Amino acid sequence: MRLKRIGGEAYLNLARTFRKSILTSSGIAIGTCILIVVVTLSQTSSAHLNQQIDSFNVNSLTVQSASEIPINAKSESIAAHFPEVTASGRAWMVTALTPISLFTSDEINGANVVQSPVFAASPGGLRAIGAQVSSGRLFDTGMALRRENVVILGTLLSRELGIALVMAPRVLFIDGQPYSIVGVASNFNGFPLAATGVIVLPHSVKSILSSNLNTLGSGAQYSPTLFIHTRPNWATAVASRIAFALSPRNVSGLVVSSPANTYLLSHVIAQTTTRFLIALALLSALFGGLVIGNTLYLSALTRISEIGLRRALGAKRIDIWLQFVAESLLLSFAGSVVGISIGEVGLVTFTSLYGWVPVERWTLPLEVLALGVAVGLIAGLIPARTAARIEPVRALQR
Amino acid sequence: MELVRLSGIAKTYNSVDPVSALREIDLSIEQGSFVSLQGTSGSGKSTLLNILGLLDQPDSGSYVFQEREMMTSSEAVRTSLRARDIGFVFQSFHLLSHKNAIENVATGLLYRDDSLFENRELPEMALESVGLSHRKFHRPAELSGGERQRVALARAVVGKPKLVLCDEPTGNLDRKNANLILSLLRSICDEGITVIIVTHDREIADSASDRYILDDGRIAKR
Repeated sequence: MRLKRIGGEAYLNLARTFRKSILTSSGIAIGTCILIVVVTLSQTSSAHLNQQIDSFNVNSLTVQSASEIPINAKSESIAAHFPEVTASGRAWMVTALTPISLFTSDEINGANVVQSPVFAASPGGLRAIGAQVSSGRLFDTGMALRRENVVILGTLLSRELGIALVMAPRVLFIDGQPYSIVGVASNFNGFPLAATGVIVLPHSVKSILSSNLNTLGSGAQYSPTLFIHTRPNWATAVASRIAFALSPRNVSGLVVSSPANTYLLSHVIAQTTTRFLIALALLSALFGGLVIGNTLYLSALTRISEIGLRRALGAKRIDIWLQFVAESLLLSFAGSVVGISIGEVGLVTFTSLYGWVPVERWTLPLEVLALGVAVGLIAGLIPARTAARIEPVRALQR
Repeated sequence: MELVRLSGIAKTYNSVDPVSALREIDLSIEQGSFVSLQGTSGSGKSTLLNILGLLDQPDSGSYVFQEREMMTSSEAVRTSLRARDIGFVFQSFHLLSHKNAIENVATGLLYRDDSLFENRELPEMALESVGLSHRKFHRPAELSGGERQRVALARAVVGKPKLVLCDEPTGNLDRKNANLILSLLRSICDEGITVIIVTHDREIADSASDRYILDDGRIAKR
């Protein structure tokens, strides 16, 4: 009975001071809104990220030599014989920094010289690492067979050199040796570093290295990696057999990337992202709680006279404490409901803009509501204690 | 029948220079009497009123209220007595600004242990008794000073207390409204409720049946 009366008093006080109540509960509304948006967005983006990583992992694997076993054209050929393999080939970094100069017919008086890494990739290797043409063309088997001195520019290097389109024949000098630019490529999903440099065919590696011997020293060639692209979901199956196919006598001499490991990596990335975003959201909720606590505390100080009157009318300390706690509960409940509602509407709008499907467990709004109310309750405890401790005689003198 | 008996009540405020607000106060008040307390500022009037209203505890002496010793009573008992048997009227009204007149009056029943708060007729009757039933839905900001004090008076008596304590109830009012409040206090007294009024107003003090003067913490009958 008494609790009902005091609850009624708390409700009446909040309802009659509506604007102040709205402002007070806005803190928790903002906190819970951010909480539900961030948690759901993190889950959605994690799912999106997982999907992207999964789509790459289930189709791709790499093989590297851990001993003297060569990764060469023969390795590509063996891998290509697997019926599940859709593309296979080598790609690797040849030199880390080599002078690259660009000449065209109208630039006879000077050259744009940059330091750039040089990569090598077979035609199959380019396809296996997911290279896509921005301009011109990729390497083909004919170029490799004819041992042409041709290059492809990574998008980042092409921007640095000021080449967006490969319309007219252009010659690029790698450490003084001429190469024809046949295209600009991007989207090297399996080998992102390739975007920063120039890519040559494998047969050009020897001459590049010989001209770089003075600066690089012998043995500067990095190991070729065999990139293999399979039909969806076949990467694991191919991974389990490829080492034996390439080196039946020394299987352990090859390192085959395991899709399971990269799955674990994606899981760890997603988990870390989610944890980070949840921490941010909890921080927001904490700020919301601080706002409520601060406002209630100020409210307690400005309502000293009222508290004195209520004590004079027979209110016990617990009655005053209960009223302040009830007010903070009502404020945080109302704020949480508003925040969650705004957050849900915002989420649907935001995710639909990007064509994402929101990933949210059905209990999340309830969990956020409980958290919002709990934060409000905790934030209201100190002001409630302060209010309950006010001596009526002093309070009535105000 | 004796409602209040004070014997040897003393109260000292301990600060840098301790101040003796009340010294050896002896006072007996009968049920249904109209008592005035006069005195200069700092003479101890408000301190005595706070002790009589169980808002403050004396340092020594004996305070018997309704034949029950208050010095040894728990805070819960004193709080319960304030809710049920004591009404307060303050100089600055102390009405709740977010409540209208009838709700302010009902607040006088809010903290009682019985179910009188649920009785909607009592606040109506109390407001009618002070002539403000036509203003029951008005908030304090929409009422004049005299009307606010009448609402405060209705709040003090709505639960039919044994004792009504008034601290300068006419201090903020003009003569006409002061007289109106005085006549209302008299009618309350006629119903058997004891009224103790602290006032600077000589006219109001003289109209009381028992008149006391406080001077430097000591009480004397006029």
